[in-house]
Amino acid sequence: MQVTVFCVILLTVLSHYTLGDELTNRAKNRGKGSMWWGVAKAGEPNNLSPLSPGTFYSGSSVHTTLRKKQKRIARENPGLLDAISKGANIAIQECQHQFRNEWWNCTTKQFLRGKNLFGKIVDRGCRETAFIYAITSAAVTHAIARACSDGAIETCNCESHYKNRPQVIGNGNSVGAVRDFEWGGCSDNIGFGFAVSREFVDTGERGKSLREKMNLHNNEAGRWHVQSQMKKECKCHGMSGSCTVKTCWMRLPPFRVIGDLLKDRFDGASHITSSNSGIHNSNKAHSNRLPKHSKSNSLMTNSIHAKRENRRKHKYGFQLKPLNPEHKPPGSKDLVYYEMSPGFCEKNPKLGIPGTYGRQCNETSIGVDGCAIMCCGRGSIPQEVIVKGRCNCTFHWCCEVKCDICKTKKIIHTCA
Amino acid sequence: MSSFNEDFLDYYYPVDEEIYEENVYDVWDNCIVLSFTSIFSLICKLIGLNICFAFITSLGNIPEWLYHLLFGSTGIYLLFTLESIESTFLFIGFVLIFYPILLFINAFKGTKILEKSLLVLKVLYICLLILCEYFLIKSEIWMQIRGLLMVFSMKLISLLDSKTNLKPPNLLAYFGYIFCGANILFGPWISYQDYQKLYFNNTKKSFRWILGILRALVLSLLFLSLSNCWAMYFISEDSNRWLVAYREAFSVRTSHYFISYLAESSMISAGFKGSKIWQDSSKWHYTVVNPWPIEFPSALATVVTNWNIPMHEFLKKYVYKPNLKYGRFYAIFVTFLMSSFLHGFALHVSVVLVLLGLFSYIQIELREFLLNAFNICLKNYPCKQCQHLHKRDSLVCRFILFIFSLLTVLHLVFLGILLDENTKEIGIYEKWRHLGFISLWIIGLKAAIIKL
Repeated sequence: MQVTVFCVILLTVLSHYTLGDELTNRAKNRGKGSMWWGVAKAGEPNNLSPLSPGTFYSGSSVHTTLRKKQKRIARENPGLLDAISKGANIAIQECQHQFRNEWWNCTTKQFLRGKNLFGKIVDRGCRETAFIYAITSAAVTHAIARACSDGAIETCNCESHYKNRPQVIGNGNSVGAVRDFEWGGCSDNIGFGFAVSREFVDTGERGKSLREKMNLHNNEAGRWHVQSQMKKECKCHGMSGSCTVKTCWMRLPPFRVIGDLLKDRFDGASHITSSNSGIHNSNKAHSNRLPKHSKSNSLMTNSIHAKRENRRKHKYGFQLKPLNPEHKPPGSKDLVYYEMSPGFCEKNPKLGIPGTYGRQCNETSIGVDGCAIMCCGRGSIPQEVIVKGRCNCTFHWCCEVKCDICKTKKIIHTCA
Repeated sequence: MSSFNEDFLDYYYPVDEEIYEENVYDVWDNCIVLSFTSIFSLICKLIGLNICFAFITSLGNIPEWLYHLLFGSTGIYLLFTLESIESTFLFIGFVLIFYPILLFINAFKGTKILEKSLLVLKVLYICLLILCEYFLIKSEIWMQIRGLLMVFSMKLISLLDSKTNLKPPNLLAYFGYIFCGANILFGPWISYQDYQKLYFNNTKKSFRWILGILRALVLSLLFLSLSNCWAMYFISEDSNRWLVAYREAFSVRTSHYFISYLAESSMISAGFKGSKIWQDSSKWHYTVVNPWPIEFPSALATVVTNWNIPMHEFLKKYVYKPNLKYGRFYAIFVTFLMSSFLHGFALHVSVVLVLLGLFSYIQIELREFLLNAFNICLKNYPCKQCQHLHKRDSLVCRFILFIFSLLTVLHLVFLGILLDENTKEIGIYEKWRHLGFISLWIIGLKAAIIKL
């Protein structure tokens, strides 16, 4: 107990004095907080030879991408890193599915040391970055909850040190449906997923810069979408339609549902501003770090948890301001950004944008996926390709469908 | 610059498509485990108490008053721990009011005053139920005690029946019979004679007894998981509307099986069993429901008889047979009306029951009509010495029977969806409109055929 008290004080003091250094460092590696995305590649055989859970976290690629705290969490929860890696992959896949018909199609690049998985686009605080942060943290929450129910992570059940489940949210308007339900036993998987996602994904975002607030907000938004989609359902049972007993259960939605929701939020994301530094909680004017006088206070107060809770509140209890003061301030499920998106049509090595060269497009569509818009007026090249597909499917009793694989010719259009 | 392009090679990360779908683990973890845990304490108390009761009564030679007291107390305890305080007191009040009335009626048995006062009483009781349903009592509480009242009403009616020359039970026996812990929550109805039989001629318990309880419990939990989870898992929300309607009705039916098997296991754990196997200590079952003929019905009549067998016995004995002298249609109609009154006058339940009566009546008539017109063996139960032109196993006969089964399933879906809880929000008309009023058309057609 005393050790933790000491640690907390030490942390607050340290963060106080090293702030100057941090600020200078941050400019250099701003994307460091999201380096964990690299674990998406951890499952690939060229990076790691054996995939046994014990050696997983010590693999070289994982080693360089994760922070100390993240490594500790991974070590404490065997199987967790596997789930997070899976989550990162789902995020990439879902992101690419959602943006398959857009100029920006969620390109990921070959992961190299010290570089970011999604490329330099995340250096900008634009909508696309907001989406990337939200979908990755949502996918991690989802994947952890899923792994818990599969039994791949053993520590999720009845874990004591992840008990601090989400209770305080941005503006508190969207308390998930999970809250008012008393969970039977220890199967609060989504709660565990939420908590671990906070610990793991948000590790890097400690500062008070607008960018970090933006990242935090978007991470939270992703998680809240998962949490609020977790539905409680109840049913009455009794003699012919009466309600003598009631049974309740939960349903975790398919991740596609969450991807669709986040895409909607992407289209209606709110543009925020740092002017007037409106990033603080309305009732307290200080940042997420504890004020100076608390150093002496914290020794006297006996409730260390209150302090921890306080820190937590500070970390997540902020309200961002919209650029246009007439707009509503962003809610806890909204995505936020503060920089305009760059053009994605042409190649832009500075921002790591490949342009829409070589992208497949739809000749007949009049939407963004149509060749006219997708290729930004450069025109498209028709090309004849051979597509393998299933055909001549027959149904065999019972219950199997057998198909042949046929090759068909098809004309595809790619942007010049 | 060449490495730049390489940087943007699109790598494909294979992820199981499964992750997007709800899988079996999810259903197990999020639905089945939670559903089971939410009724775990109920099952423990229900079965545990009844087993304790069975042990005490099996010791032999306990006085009769203790038998009634113990049995009644288990019921009272179950009520207090499982239902809300309000509904418990309401129910107890209901039960106590009727004891003096019971004594009064027994005192004047066979007199003319009774005939009149009985009629008044019936009307008053029905009015009271309607008032409770719609005005007097909060709907959540009413929903809780409606099932209890249903069992209570059946017990009371069987006690009031003027034909049996039964001595009225004393207050303690009344208390024990009504609050009997084995069937107060989920039924089934048992007669007062059967209730006393357990005291005078207790069943011999053996290891098979435990197996009998477990069998009923396992079946009950299986049907609970079907009702809550698997139905949703196999037929998703965006399937064909007929499939979704089937799922909804299926969920209602399996929920009923769950309750019925739970009732069976509580009856067995208290020591009750079917009267035919009462002396046989190797067999332990007390059939409340027969799911098989309901899921694959040959006619609506079989569904109705197998839905709740003790209740069917009750209705046949106390309602259908006494009214048969006024004609079959009348008897069927009164029976279903009575059944709907027992179910508590909720509009959708009454609609279902009355239409069920009408549908099964028309179905029987149509069968009879086809039987006479084309000389096909179409009786519900195959005739022993078939004199018909088309025998039971002839192609024509089989085909028609198959059509009848199919139509019965359709009717069950059509009526079953009303019993789902969302009927209150959506409304009966809207639900049926969604299915194109199909059953009503079919019934109209059938009636037209008979008339022609």
